[in-house]
Parts: sequence; structure tokens; C-alpha cells
Amino acid sequence: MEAKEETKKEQEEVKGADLDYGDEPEGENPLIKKMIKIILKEREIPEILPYEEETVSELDTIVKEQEEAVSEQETRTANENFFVMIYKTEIERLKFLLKTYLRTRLFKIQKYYLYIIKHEKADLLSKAEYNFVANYFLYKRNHFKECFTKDLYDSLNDFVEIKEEDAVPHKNAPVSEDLVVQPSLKRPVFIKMNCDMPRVNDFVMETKENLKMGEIMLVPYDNCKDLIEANVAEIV
Amino acid sequence: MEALSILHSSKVLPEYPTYEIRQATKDINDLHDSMERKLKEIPDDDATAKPEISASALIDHYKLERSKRVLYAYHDERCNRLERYFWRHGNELSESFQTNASKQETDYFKNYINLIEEYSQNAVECNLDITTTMEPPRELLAKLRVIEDIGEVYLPDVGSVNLEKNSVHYLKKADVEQFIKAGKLIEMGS
Repeated sequence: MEAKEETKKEQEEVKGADLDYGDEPEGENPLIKKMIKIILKEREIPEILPYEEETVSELDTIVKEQEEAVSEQETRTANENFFVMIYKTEIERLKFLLKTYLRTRLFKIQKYYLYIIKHEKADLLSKAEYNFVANYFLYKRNHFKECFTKDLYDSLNDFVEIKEEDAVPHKNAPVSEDLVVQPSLKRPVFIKMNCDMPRVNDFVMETKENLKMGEIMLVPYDNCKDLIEANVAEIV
Repeated sequence: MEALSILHSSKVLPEYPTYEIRQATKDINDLHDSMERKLKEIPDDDATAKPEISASALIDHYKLERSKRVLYAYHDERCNRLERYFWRHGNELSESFQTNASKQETDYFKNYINLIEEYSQNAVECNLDITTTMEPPRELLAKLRVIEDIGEVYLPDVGSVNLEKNSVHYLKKADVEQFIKAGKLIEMGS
């Protein structure tokens, strides 16, 4: 019994920060569960979604505090070392969630960088993402220029030369609409109903029955976009 | 156009077709000149006055727009391949990529790496390298064998480590992922 209490005490000392895993498995932690849902949504939905500042910042703080707490433990007993290993593994897993979320968004931003600029979607991005898209645009434009647009007549250049002070993304960025890759809103996504809902016109076209809670369907994203936003359905 | 089909059928990065690209830009400018000449022949911009010339000018316009889009698509796809290479194999280009990439593409690759590094440093407050841990981490430490001499490296958790050829180490995978991606270290038992 004493040994058990001692182990628990050591565990709390090493833990330091307030990340309480309790006796629940990782997937049951509400914050982690939320983050996994956010990643899934970002991965499956074709368009760029608003940056989840609050959740990311919460997870970021926890990782930072946990790392500090673990690194502060300089001299350790073998038992403490064991717990440090466990906590470091957990930190790596949390970091993996953060990395996956940021990478998923980054790949989408790269793919739709001109769409984000031309259609004023920059407000959906974090500050770091905004800086990224601005520089990515400039690098791409300069690369095209170095490779071939410098040899074309000025009137044929779709990335028109802009002044340095205007070199930030905005809807009037001088880029031809022909080059803009748009997210395919018709792409089918799997959704799960969070509540019962009567059949709605223009929704799942071939279904005539009412939609029941827990039902899983494959539908074009633009048909269920409103339901996802209203939390009536969720991406699975 | 041929260069695009070569790129399409190739899984790696084919040699940059400098001559073909120059020729294509020249053709586009020529088409533009031809279109301008034809437009000047149409009196008062009235397309119905000389329909055969208007149609010909329109065809020139569509041809040059198409050629331009092909050029953008071609260069964009090559950039995408360099970006994908970075995420899969790290920041050192393989010999075939180095040989086939143009100077501009090598510069683009370097700029892209810097851009990702800058983003990685500023995205969140905790110490996070988004280019590592592409797979969910199963264990903190991995048993790794050194395939190619790397020499002494400093790792945040263990300090200085001499990664000598054929030596085996238990290391945090995320710390040495760039060497794993480059094929200099392999995970034992995987």
C-alpha cells in the first residue's frame, strides 16, 4: 500500500503540469478526443476550415508545461526514470497530434494558395499560416518568373509584377483566375447524424426516408456542409 | 507538350527541358504577334467585318492561353515533386534529383525548406518540428543502426552521440528523423 502511494507521489511530481490522464486511456481525454475530431474534419473536408486557435493553444500549453516539468527533474531514481519515459512518450504523442493538424492544413494551404489569396480566405489562417502563404506565393511567382514568364511579353504574364509593399496576399493580387485551383466541394465525405432529422430537399438525393441519429452516409460535401456547421452531422 | 507527357509518365523528376521551354515561350510570343497583326486587319474592332480573320485571331489566342497553362502546370508539378521529396526524404536532394533539377528549382527547394522551418518555429509555442514524426509514435526510443558514417551529432535528450557506421543506438526517433529519411540510419526490426 505504502509503495503504491509512493509511486503515485512520484508520478505526480514528475507530471508537474495539469494534464490529467486519470485512469482513462488516451483516446478518452476530452481534449485529445476533440483534437482528433478536428484533424479528421480538416483532413476530410475539401475546403480550408478556420484555424482552431483555442484547442491548438490549449494543447500547445500542455505540451510546453509537460516538457518543462520533465526537464526540471535532473536527478532521478530508476522508478522516476520509468515515469519520465512514459511522460516523454505521451508528450511525443500529443506533439504528433499537433504536427498532424498543422501539416494537414499546410498541405491544403499549399494546394489552394491562390484560391486563399484571390477569395479572401486569409482570415481562416493563423498568423504563421498567413506568413507562410504570403511567402509561398512570392516564391512560386519568382520561380515561374525565373523559369519562363520573364521571357514572355509583359501582357502575357499572369503573375504581374507587384510593388514590394503590396507583396502580401489580398483579393486584388494580380493573378489570373485561370491559374486558381479551387477546392472540389462536390467531393463525397462520410458523415454521421448526431440527431434525427426529417428528409430535407436537396440533401441526400436518393434517400426518401427520415435521417436517423447515428446513421452513416456518403454524401457530396456541399450537400451536407450546413449540417456539419450546425453540428447536426459530423465527419467520420 | 512532350515534356509534360514525359513528366506525367515519370515517377521521379525528369531532366529540365531548357531548350523546349525556351522554344515554347518563343512560340507563345509569336502567337501573340500573329494575333495582334490579325486584329489590326479588322476595321474598327468589328469582328463581323472579317469573320475569317477574327476566328483565326481567336484561335491564336486560345492556343497561346493553352500553351501558357501547360507551362504553368509543368513547372507547378515539378515544384510539387520537389516539395513531396522534401517531406519523404528530407532536405538533401538525391543524385538524380540534383542532376535533373534546374538551378532555379534547386533554389526553390532551398527556399521551400526555409519556409517550412520558419513556419515550424512560429506555428506554436512549444518546441515542434513538423517535418518529423510522420507516423504515430509507438515507442519513445527506437533501436537504430548507422548505415553511413554521420559523425558526432548533438541530440537534445542525450547530448553528443557518435553515429559511426554499423554502430547501434537507442535514440529518440524524432531527433534523428532527418538521417532516417536520408537512409543513413535504419530502424532495426522494422
